[in-house]
Amino acid sequence: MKNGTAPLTLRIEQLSKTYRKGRGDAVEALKSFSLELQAGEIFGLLGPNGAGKTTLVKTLLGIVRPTSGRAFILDHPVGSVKARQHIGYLPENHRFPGHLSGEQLMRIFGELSGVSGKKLDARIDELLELVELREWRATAIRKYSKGMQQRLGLAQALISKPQLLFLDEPTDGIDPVGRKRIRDVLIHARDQGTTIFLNSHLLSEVELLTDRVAILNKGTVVAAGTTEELTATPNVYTLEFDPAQADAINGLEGVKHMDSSSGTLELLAESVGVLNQRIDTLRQHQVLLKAVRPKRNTLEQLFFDVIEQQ
Amino acid sequence: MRRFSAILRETLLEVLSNKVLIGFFVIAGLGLLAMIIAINMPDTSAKIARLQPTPDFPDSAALETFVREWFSISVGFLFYNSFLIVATIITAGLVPSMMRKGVIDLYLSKPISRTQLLFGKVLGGLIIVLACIIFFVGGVWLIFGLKTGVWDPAPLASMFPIMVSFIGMYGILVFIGVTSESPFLGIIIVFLLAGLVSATLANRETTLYGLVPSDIGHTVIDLLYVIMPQTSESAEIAGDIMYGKTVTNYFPMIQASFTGLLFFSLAAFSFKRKEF
Repeated sequence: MKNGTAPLTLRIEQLSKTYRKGRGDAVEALKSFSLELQAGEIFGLLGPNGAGKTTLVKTLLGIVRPTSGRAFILDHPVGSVKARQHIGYLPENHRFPGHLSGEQLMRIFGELSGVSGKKLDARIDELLELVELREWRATAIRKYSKGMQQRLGLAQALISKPQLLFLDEPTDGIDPVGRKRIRDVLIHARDQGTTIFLNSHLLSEVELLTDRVAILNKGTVVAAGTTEELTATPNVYTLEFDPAQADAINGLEGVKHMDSSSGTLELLAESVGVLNQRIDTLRQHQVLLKAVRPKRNTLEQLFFDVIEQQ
Repeated sequence: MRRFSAILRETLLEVLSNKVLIGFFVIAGLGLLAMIIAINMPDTSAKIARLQPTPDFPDSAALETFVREWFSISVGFLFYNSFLIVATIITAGLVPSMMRKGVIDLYLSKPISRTQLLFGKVLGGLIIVLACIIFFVGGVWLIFGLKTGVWDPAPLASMFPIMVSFIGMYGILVFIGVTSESPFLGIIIVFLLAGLVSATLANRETTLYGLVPSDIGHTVIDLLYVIMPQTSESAEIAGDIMYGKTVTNYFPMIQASFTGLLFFSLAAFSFKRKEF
């Protein structure tokens, strides 16, 4: 419990997983992973293929057993039936039985999740509407496109109004329109109070959606924090100016990079006072500034930086 | 219970979409149709009319024997062995299909125990197989009852040894499905055990004793005979029941039930421990 009130949605303590391959060979897929998630957060787990992302999710679902450490979903040990009553899951490369219709699948997975009767009927209607598959409800899933199957997967994951939603590469192989639809559904779920654990290597998607991220490489967390914290570049500012005045900037102290054609400048300033001094210098040279803002990296830049450092 | 019934229903829907099952119902339906035609042929109809009890000769034994002979040929000979093959093929994929990557993760993330999940699949397979048996054996019984007026329940009881024989084989099939995740390996091993091995062991005195002359060797062979599915002996029991004979040795049925239970339990244990 946190502050003696509501339990954390997810609490992971030093979770490790080692796969034994026989003859003494072992692969450490996950090394002492810890995390706490509050209700309504969207958390993104990034990492290259084989980083241990899927192993972590499968451990939290009880599909694989941890070698050491422990984890709890709303204070219930992961893998227990009680813990699974609170979760929804969309696995990577899921395969639904092609002979079922979308509605049949929703009904079966709804009942498996403990929803039934009129509540289930209403939930199926609501979710098929939300994922824009209402007209396809009676059609066999084998006739669905990849994007439709992904949206149906998301709907089945949400069927029991889970408090924690695990999504493993939910937008992989989906076109931009499909990705936007899925993003909208996730934002809707978050607004309803669902905590979302997003496992992806589509960095732009993660950047658009998440409150906090961690980058996993070779089973170890190599960076973690809020998206803003991770993408911030301390003491570097971006300035926009009239490209015609580029010559006036030559020789200015602290310039990291200048793009004359677009009229942008990256300026290093150790403090706000230094920043203002340098802006004053530019103004003395009659440079008209259009914008001044702290520089931010993209998550993609950060990702490549930390992975390369490894 | 609701979760268990959901997995059961999903299994039934899966089996009903199986082309082999559809093929079975088509062929079995055609078989029943052929039987209707055969017993309505002028010669057969005349024979049935001759065997009908009359006020002067009220004994219906001859007509009952006639019906049981037909049962013996259609169910005991044609249906019994071919159906066990078809039932094995229909049900072999149920557990491995659930264990495919991208499918098993979905099931295991739901709040249902692994034991319930596995037994939902197993029970679904058994229900379908029982439905197939009832369809054909019940169909034959109905056709002859309507034609001859003989409503002898004894041939219907032949469904029991067919089902029990299948349970023994199905246990092995489920265990191999869980451990190897391959439907084909399961089919091959069950066919080998229930066909080749079972027949060889049933005739062990003429086939195997000569190869292993020692008493210890004979004891080992006898032990193997006891623990392996006794398909041909089960077929004999089915035949005896159809003919209304007293069955003196139910051991093959006990053995098949035990094999089924043992392998279902081993499959459940293995499935519970497995990581995906």
